[in-house]
Amino acid sequence: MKGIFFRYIARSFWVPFWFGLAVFCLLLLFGSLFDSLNFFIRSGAGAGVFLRYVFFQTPYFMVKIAPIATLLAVLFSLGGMMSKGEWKAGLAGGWRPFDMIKPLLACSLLAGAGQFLLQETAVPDLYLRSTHLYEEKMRGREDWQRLVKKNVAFSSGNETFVTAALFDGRRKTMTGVVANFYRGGRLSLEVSARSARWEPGDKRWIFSNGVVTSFSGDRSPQIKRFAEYSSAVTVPPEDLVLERLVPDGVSIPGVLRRLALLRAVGAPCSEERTLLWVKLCAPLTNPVMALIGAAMAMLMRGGNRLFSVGFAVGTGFLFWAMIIMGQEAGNAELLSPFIAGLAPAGLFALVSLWGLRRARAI
Amino acid sequence: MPAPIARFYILRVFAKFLGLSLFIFTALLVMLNFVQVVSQGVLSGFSFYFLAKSMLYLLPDIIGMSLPLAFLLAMLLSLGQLSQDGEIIALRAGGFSFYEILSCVFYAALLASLLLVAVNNWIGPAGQKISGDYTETMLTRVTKIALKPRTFQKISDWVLYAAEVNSLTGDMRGVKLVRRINKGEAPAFVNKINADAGRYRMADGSGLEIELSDGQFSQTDFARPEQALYGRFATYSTLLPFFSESGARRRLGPKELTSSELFSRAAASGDPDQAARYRVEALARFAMSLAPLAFFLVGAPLGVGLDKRGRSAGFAMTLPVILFFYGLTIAGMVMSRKHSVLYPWAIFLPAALTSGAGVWLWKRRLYAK
Repeated sequence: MKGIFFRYIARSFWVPFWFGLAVFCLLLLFGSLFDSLNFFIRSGAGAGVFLRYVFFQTPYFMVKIAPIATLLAVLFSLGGMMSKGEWKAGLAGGWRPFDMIKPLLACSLLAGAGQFLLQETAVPDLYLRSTHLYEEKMRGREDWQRLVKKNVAFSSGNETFVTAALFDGRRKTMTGVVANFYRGGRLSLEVSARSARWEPGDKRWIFSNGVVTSFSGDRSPQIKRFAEYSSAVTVPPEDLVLERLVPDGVSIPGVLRRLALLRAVGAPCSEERTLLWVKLCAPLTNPVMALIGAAMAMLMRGGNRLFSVGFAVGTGFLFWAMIIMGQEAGNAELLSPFIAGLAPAGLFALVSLWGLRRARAI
Repeated sequence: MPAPIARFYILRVFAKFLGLSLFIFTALLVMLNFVQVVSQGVLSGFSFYFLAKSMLYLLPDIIGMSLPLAFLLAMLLSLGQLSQDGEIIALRAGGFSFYEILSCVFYAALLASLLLVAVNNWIGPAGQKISGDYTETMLTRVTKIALKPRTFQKISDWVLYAAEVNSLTGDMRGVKLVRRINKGEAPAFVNKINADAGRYRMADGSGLEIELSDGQFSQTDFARPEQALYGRFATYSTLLPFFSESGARRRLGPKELTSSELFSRAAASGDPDQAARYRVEALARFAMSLAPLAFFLVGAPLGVGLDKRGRSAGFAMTLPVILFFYGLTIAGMVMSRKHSVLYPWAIFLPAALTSGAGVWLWKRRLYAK
C-alpha cells in the first residue's frame, strides 16, 4: 500500500517536469536567438551556422532550467493533489505531510543526478562548440580564446622564471622574452632574446637573437651573444593554460586539470577554484527547489497554475542571480570558493526548511 | 454628453495594471542589470555606494525598456478583465463608442511615447554614461589584496611573486618583482628585483608598500642587450600603485551617447560603417518611442475581444506581439547598417506594420461589434 501511494505521487512529478523543461528551454532559446540575431545578420554566416549555434546550446539550457522545472513539477503535483482532495485524503489515511513529499524529493534527486550527468558529459563540449561558432563565425573574433597574450610571466619549475612581451599560444612563440635562473634565491643566469619558439622534438624553448648574462657573486656579469640558444625552459605552451576559461565549457575533471597546471606555473586560480565548487554544488539545487516548492504549496494551500508558473520563474531567476553573485564573490576572493559554491543552495535550503516548519510539515 | 466617469474608470483600471506591470518589468530588469554589473567583476573593488549609484543611474534606461512592455501587458490585462466581467458590453450598450471608451488610454499611450522620446534620446544615455563611470571606478579600484604564495599577481605595471606569504603579518620570502616597459608595441626594458625576504602593507587604497631586504636588481635593455644594469641592496622600499599611469580613458559605447552626440559623431566620422552605426542607433530610439502607440492600436482590439479567457489569454498574447515587434526592429536596425538604401525605412517598419495590423484589427473586430 505504501509503495503504491509513493509511486502514485512520484508519477505526478514527471509530466509537469518535462513540460516546464520544454517550455522554459524554448523561451531561453528564443531569447538567445534575439540576443545573437544582430551578430548573425551582420556576419553573413549561413543559416546552418545559426541553427547549429542554437542547437549546441540546448543541453546547456536544459541544465540551467532543470531546477526551475523541478520547482514547477512539485508545485503542480502538490497543488493538483490539494485541489483534488488527495492531500486531505492522505492526511486522513495517516500519512504525514513530509511522507507525502518524499516521493517528489526522490524524483528531484533523480532529476539532479540527470542534470549532473548532462553537465559533465554533453554540455562542456557542445557549449564550447556553440561559443566557438558565436565568437569566430558570428562575431569574427579569431582570438576569443585569448591564446595571444601580452606581458606574461610564468614559472618553469624550481627557481626559473620567464617573462615575455607577447606569448602566442597558437604559433607557440614568444617575443621580447627574458628567462631568469636562480640558485639559492640568487640570480645566477639570465637569457634575454628577441624571440623564442617551442621545439616539440627537444621539448624545450629555443631562444633566438639574444644574450646570456651570467652572474657570479661580486664579479661583474659575463655577457655573451647568441643566434640560437637551447634553454632549460621545458614547460610546453599547452601547459601554460592561456585559453580563456569558459565556465560552462569545461567539466569538473577539466577544471581540476587546469588547477594543477595553473598552480605549477604560479598563475592565479581563484576563478577555477570557485568554479569547481559551483559545479560540485549544482546538483543540490534540484532537491532544494523541491523543498521550496513543497513549502510554498503547503503554505498557499495549492494556489493556481498561473501563480505556480510565476513563482517558479521568479524563484529560479532569484536563485540564478544568487549563483552568479556567489561566483563573482568567490572570484574576487571575498568568499572562500567552498562558501561561494554552496551559499545559494544553502540559503534556499534554510528558507525552505523554515517554510516547511511553518506549514507544519516537519 | 458622455460622462467622463466611464473614461476615468477605464483609465483607473488600466493605470492599476500599468503600475503593477511596470513594477514587475522594472524589478526584473533591475535584477538583470545588477547581475550583469556584478558579473563584470566589480566585487574586487566593491563599494555599496558606487554600486547603488550605478544601479540608480540605470533606472531611466530600464524604465524606458520596461514602459512599452508594461503598456501592452496592462492594455491586454485591463481590457481583458473588463471584457470578461461584461463591462465593455455594458458600456457599449449604454451608448459609448470605442473611441470614447478608449480615448483616455490613447492619451496615456501618447504621453508614454513623448516620455520615451525624452528618456531614449537624452535622459537614458546620460544615466548610462554615469552608471558606466561608477562601474569602471569599481573595476579599477582595489579594496583588498590577498597575496598568495607561488602565484604571480599583477599590480598595475608590476608582477609580484613570493615563494612564501604570511597574510597576517605581511611577511614574504623568496620575492620576485618584474616590470615590463614597452615603447608602443615593442618591448623596451624589463626591470627585475629579487629578495630573500620582504614585507607588504596596503597604503590607504593607493597601492602596496613593499619593503625588501638582501636582494638584487637588474634591468634588461632590448635596444642595448650587451649592456647589463645590475646591483645589490641590503634594504629596498617601494610603493606599487594600484592604478597604472598608462591607463587609457574609458571608450563610450553608442548607448551612452545622447542622440545629438550620435548624429554629430556620425557626421564627423570618416568610417562609413561607424557613421551608419551611430545614425541607426539614434533613429532606432525614435522608432522605439512609438511602441506605446503601436501597442495601443494592436492591444485595444485584442484586449476587448478576450471575453471568456480574460487575463490569462491577455498575458499569453503579450509574448508574440513583443517578439514580433522587437525581433523585427533588431532585424531592421541590422539591415539598415548593412544596406544604406534601407535606412531609415527598415527601422520604422516594425512600428508601421504593428500599427497597420492594429488598424486592421480595429476595423475587423471593433467596428464590426
